[in-house]
Amino acid sequence: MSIKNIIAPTFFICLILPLLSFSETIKYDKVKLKRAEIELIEDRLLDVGIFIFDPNIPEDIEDNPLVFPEIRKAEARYIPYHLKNTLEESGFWGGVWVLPDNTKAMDLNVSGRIIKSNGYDVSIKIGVWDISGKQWLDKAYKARVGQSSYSKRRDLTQDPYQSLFNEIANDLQKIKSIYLSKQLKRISEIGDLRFASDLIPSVFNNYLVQDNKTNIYKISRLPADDDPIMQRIGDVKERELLLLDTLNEYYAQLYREISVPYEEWRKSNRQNAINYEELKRSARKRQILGAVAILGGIMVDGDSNASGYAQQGLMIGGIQAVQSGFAKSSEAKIYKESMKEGGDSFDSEAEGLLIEVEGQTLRLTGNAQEMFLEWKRLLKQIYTEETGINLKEDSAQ
Amino acid sequence: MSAFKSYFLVLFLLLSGCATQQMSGSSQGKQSPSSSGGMPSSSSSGGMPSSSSSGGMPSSSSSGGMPSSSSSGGMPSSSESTNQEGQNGNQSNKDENTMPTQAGISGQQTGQSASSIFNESLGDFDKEMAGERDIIAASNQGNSSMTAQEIADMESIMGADLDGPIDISGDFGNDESEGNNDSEEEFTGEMSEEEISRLPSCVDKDGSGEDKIARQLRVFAIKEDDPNIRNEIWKQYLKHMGIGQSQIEECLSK
Repeated sequence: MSIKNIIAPTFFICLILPLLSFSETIKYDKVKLKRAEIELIEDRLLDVGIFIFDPNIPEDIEDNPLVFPEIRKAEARYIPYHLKNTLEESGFWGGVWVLPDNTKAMDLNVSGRIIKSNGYDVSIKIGVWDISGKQWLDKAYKARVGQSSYSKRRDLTQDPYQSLFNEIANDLQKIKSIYLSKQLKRISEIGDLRFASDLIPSVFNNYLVQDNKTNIYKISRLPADDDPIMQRIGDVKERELLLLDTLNEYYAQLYREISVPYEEWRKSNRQNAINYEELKRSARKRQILGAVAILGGIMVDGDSNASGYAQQGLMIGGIQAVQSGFAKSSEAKIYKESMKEGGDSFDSEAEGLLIEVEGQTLRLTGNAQEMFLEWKRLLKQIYTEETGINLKEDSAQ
Repeated sequence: MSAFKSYFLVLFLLLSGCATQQMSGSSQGKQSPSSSGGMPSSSSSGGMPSSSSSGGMPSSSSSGGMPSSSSSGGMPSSSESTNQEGQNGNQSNKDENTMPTQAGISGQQTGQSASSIFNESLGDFDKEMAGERDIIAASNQGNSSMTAQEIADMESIMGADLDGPIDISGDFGNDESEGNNDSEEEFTGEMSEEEISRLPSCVDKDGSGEDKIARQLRVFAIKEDDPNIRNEIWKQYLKHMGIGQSQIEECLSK
């Protein structure tokens, strides 16, 4: 038996062995939410607004059959709402609202984009800015969800993706803890002035300066504590928060109605996703293994009976491995179809709920818009009347 | 000489007459209220009131230049306007000295109303929002699908020990159940006819196969007087028991 005859099979065995290591140890991280042990002083409480997330629906939806647009849209509302609950539960924040659109009534704004969510893997990109324009966070959060996260015997206040929510909340708290109380208070003051500047720009624009390079706002001067126009602006801000409270009631309704079917979908989709990924991986490995064995068989050279048997064995084994790879691949398709069916079913259920909440949001914000425009004009008029200063036409910022 | 005196007298009277006419003319002009002080017409464009763009990121646009008419100290005058129509010339002259612009004067005259319009509109908005929230609350009651969280909340409210028996004796009026630790048997032996009538056809009387949460849900459902809410609790119960949506609907419609 030549050395070549020994080297060739050894080489292929070395190549194949790593592929045979099918078992994979999965670690499911459990992140605990950090909670405030004492009630925080008012200066340390920032109001937080969480924008409805970007559902990140791919344009070529037919090439992504496992992304369900309506489920994504529902998640884009469900996830911010649960994050709101988590932040509230932590006790480190003032009011927390889900926002349908941009507003200057918040001290801290959170935006998010859903990268992946299939009940098994979840990945979300989060960006956080304070009202001065300073970025607090720009991070992608990922979590792998364990079977126990869907257990009916778990603490049912905890979402299956709870670790991810807790991680975001803990990160935000950690960043906030670096700030001194007076710095946090200053953020709130900038927020008040930006809100005021939105209502009467020609009066309040010059209370703030924006850095040309960083675009961060700083206060150049502060109005008096008992400034009557600021008090009225405070009244308007309260109404904006009241409007947000009401809108959040609608989001809460959607959250409630969707929570059970959404969890069911995630649970069944998780199992299908695991099976699908496992079978796909197994199919790929078998196909590679088979191809390598066939190649090895071709390369075995020799006149001896042993080399003949080895060649034959490798060829037959290789063909069988490739065939079983294709079989696994077909089996994987069944789970893919199952995910598609389950997704389509929940997708249409979510669609109806979304239409309702979106309709209510548009109706409410549309009506409120008229009122806010009126308040803008009235505030200018009152300012002119009380100070005698004729305001020039405000240009939109 | 007397003719000369008469000439001066006539001249004086003529001059003073013209002056009076001029004074009354200017006073009338200041007192006429500006017609632009009423409620502005509103236009709607949708979206959040103070919003500039959607998409999560807070606007970081430039705050613009310094307005030429800005106040110097940030503390505008808060003097209450008490001007009334038909004020005398002296009052008008005083206003002319204190208010720098014509707009200021007309503002002073209508200030009370703009302020009250503002306050009234805040009140109207509050009422509108309160009404909206009442509607939401009513619809929540009518369609009370429960989240897992709410189920958990209910459990904590009930304060029942999940590992222990479910004491339903107080509500169902059967004192004999006290001290009986076999809760699953309690259902079969102790339910009144009314309580049995509250069980959907597909729910076993003996509660076989129930876990702790299912047992809790069963108790909540039986206790609930509102048929809509009871139906929702049964839905949750059946879902929890792993029964399909179509079967649930079929079961509850019977």
